[in-house]
Amino acid sequence: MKRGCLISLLVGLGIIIVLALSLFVTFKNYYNTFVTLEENVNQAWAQVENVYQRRADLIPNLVEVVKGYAGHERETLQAVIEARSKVGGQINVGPEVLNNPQAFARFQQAQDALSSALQRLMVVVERYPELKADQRFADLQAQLEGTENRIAVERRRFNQAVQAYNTAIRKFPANIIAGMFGFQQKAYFKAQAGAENVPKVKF
Amino acid sequence: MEEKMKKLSAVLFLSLLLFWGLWAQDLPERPSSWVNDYAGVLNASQEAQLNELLNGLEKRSSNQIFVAIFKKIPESYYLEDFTVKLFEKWRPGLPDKNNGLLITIFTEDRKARIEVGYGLEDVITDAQARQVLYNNMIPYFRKGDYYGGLLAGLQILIPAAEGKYKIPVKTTKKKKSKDGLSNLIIAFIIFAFISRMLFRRRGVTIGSRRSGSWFGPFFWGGFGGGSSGGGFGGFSGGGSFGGGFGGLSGGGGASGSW
Repeated sequence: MKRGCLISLLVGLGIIIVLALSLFVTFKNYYNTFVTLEENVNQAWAQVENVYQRRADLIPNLVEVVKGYAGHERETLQAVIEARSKVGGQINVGPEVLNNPQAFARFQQAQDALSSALQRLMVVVERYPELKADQRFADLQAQLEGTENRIAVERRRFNQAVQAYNTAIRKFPANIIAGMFGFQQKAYFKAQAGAENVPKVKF
Repeated sequence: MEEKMKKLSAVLFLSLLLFWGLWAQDLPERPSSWVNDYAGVLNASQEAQLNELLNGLEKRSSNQIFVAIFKKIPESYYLEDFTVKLFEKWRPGLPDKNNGLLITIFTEDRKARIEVGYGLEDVITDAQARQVLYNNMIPYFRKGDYYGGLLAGLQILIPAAEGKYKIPVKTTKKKKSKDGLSNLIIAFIIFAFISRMLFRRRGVTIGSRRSGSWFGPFFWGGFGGGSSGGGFGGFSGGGSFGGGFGGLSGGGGASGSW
């Protein structure tokens, strides 16, 4: 009799162990996946900030060169400078902004305003052949073009990373575990109005 | 209202992704040679010479340059977008160095692009790429001499890339995950924990009588062995290539048309 008791005890014990282990492994796998995906998002975000920073750094030189040839295009230049200064205070906002949709929208708005101010400047510049012939301007233009393209690429990669993360934490039963550990959904970049197909500056 | 917008944007995003998946089919698989003429504008010996040049570059320095010549940019792409996605697919360069370069030429669209991997952005800047493209390559392309243009461009791009990475590197292997071991340890600890609890309550002791929570620090220590990987990288080489792939670009480089 004692022996049967021991056996059933061991069987019960085995079941408990298997359950506990599988529960633990499930939690661990989900948690670690979330961490990896969130890290990917943060990394992609750092790249987005890098390329925006790169653009902001180009602008003083660009304005300087354009002023030399087209100084009386004051309004257009002023618009670029203003948009640049608005962006300046918001550039290194850190990954916290990803959990705050309003702050994220403000960030995107400021950056998009700078994009359109730059686009207007580049249209105006067409009227100044001497400026276009200046080697410094040609180089800056190449850099700006490259930077706008980088922005498009990094934004797309960021959106892909966020998409992978958001999908992972919203699926069942992952959402329960994500909720327990405070993993929140993150904000996306939205396409600029009218620029869905051509997210680059045409010179 | 906001909820509705959210749903709408989610649907839009999903359909965009779906489209993206469809478009992605236009991208050729990673080829087994550096120079790939899908437009048929190079003859066999020209292609072999350029391949020889790029083979030498990879052997000497681990830098990888792919060339792809097409007739037209597939619909629903634009030049920069197609090039960066092809770069993402072919992954020239090593995963830890991103020292790859991709040159795309579209003969009928009369457009070309040099896409520079992250790791070479400082030695081949956008402005330099543009100068190479416009000063050295496009004059030949205008005359329909794609071989001459590529040769002239590569004569500048190869030394520039080589100035940075000189050491040839062997294929990197993916590191093995330690998950199996740490799970085993944790299983043992859980077993110990539960058995202690159960047996003690029933007044049965097994094994040693050492008491105290010796498994405490052990248990927490078990969390250390996280999973590996994540993100990009970890491609293995194939065909006649030496070093393996995995480089990535971030939209740097320059585009040109003629």
